[in-house]
Amino acid sequence: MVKLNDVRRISDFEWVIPKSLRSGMKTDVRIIASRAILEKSLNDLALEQAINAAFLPGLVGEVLVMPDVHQGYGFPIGGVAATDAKKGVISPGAIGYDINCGVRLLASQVEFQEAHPLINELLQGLYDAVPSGLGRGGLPKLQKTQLEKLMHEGAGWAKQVGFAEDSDLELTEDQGKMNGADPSKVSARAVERGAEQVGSLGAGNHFIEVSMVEDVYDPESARVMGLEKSCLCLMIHSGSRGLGHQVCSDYVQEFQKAQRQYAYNLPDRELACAPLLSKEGQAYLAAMRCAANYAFCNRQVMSHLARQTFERILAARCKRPYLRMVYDLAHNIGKIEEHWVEKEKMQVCVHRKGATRAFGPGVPEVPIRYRQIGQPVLIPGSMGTFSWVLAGKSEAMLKTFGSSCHGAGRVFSRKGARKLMRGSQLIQDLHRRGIAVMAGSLAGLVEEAPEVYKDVDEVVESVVQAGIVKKVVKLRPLAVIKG
Amino acid sequence: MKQKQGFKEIEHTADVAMHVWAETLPALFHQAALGLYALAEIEMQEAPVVSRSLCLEAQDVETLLVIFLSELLFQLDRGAVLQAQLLEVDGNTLTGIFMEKKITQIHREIKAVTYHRLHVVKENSVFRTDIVLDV
Repeated sequence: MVKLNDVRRISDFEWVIPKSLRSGMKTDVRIIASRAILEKSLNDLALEQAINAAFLPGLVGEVLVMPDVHQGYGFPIGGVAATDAKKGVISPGAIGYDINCGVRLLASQVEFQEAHPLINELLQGLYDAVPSGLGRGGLPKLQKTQLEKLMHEGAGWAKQVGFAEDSDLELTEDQGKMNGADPSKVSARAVERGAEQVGSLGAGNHFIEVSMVEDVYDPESARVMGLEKSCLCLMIHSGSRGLGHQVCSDYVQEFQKAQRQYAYNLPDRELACAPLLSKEGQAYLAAMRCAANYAFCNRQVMSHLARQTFERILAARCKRPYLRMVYDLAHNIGKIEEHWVEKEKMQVCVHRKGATRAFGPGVPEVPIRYRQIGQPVLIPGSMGTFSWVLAGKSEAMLKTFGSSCHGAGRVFSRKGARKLMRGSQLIQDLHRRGIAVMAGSLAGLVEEAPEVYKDVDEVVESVVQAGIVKKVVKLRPLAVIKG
Repeated sequence: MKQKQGFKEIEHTADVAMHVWAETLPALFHQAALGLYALAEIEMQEAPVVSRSLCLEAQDVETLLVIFLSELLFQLDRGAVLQAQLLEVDGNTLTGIFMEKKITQIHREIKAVTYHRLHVVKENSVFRTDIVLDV
């Protein structure tokens, strides 16, 4: 296990584990965190996993660890690693099974006071309209050809069938479509699993949350994002469902063979990788993009269902019950991007697992609407705590491959959480705090209790103090659906 | 851990994990399957639907275990539980006959079976390994 003595302080919010710590590490590990968060991170295998990630062939720059870091499998959650796009590798395990798991934020001009009497009805309406938990989605089962088109077009497919507006696509990362998706690289099993799950939330930590803008920290950025104090917002956290899980499983399996072929000697088989430009690497990249597009489309379909419900229920009492898109981003993804590495601009494959892209002002990939202020960075809290909207800063481009944290980060195991409290007690506690909750499983709800997460405010303070993002607004949760 | 075979949930911050042990490899695989179903918290109909056979091959025993459990996960997604009637593991090959039953409820979604901390070892005549599942 890594000890505090193994970590060198750079500043109050940046720490380095030097590559000299362990033979075979190809680069340093840089941790963005307060001292308190760093010390908590030593309690599980998260930093060991970051060290293991530093063994990946063809890494450039440092392996980065965000303050919401916690133990995953192979690669830590809250980790970022970039490899040389010409000579480096791609690792499915460093992106994760829920490919393009991500967050979408929609905002309204409906004031909380206006909508307050209808919040419970809204919660029930959303629960009925958007399928959650395991199983089928909000659309009928798709034919293979329809699904292939969806995997190719991403959220654009939803627009073609009337489930999206132009601004929805404009304000989605990659406009909701990763180019280079090739459905022929996706297995029949993945297609089968994905065919009837479009428009579904899934389970685990996935959620839909109705919140209100509590505080505004950067009025100009908030104005550009359409976030008004005391007005309602809606956040959706979900991913690529069974299709993405199967794509990752297929290629982690496929890449086991590549380890011998390329004579890689990684400390964890879950990090199995292949040269990005190899046949296997290109096949995975094309399949991963299909799953990413599926996830963009999935969140788009759910947005459409949620938007209809929001308008239907609030129309009776509120003047402008319309939900407009703020942003949609991925936090489990592999991206070919251009970054400065040791004074040289180069193409790299950025693996973000439980980490959010946080591009600063002026970067061409940021939608025109946000290009002056930086990309919106969406940080969900933990059901009972605040969520945050931040904006990427130029420093992120130099320090973290344009990346930031993705949430609060767990500190407590699911097994431990179940011993901590009962579901009914948690619902009552949240109710007392003004938060209405619906969940498919009470045990599952307990596993996601606010107490099992880090203090999201402290996590956000770390990335802000490290200079990679700025605060825009803070959101107070009002109603939550847990998958 | 005095039982000759079994599984036990172990701590993991974000996902779920179990320790599995048995005196033979087929029994280890069988316990891993039972552990997977227990962690997924399934409810099923008692009446079997159909008999199904499986034959899987891999380059090593850990890969075989991942492939086997991934097959069970895939079947879970289709609403089916496979209960082993006969299970043999010979080298890196698994053959088995299973009774398929219909699921009525799954309380926890398991996304995938990982290789993380997966090392099948034999200590004092007992095979054992940890298995981490992505949820």
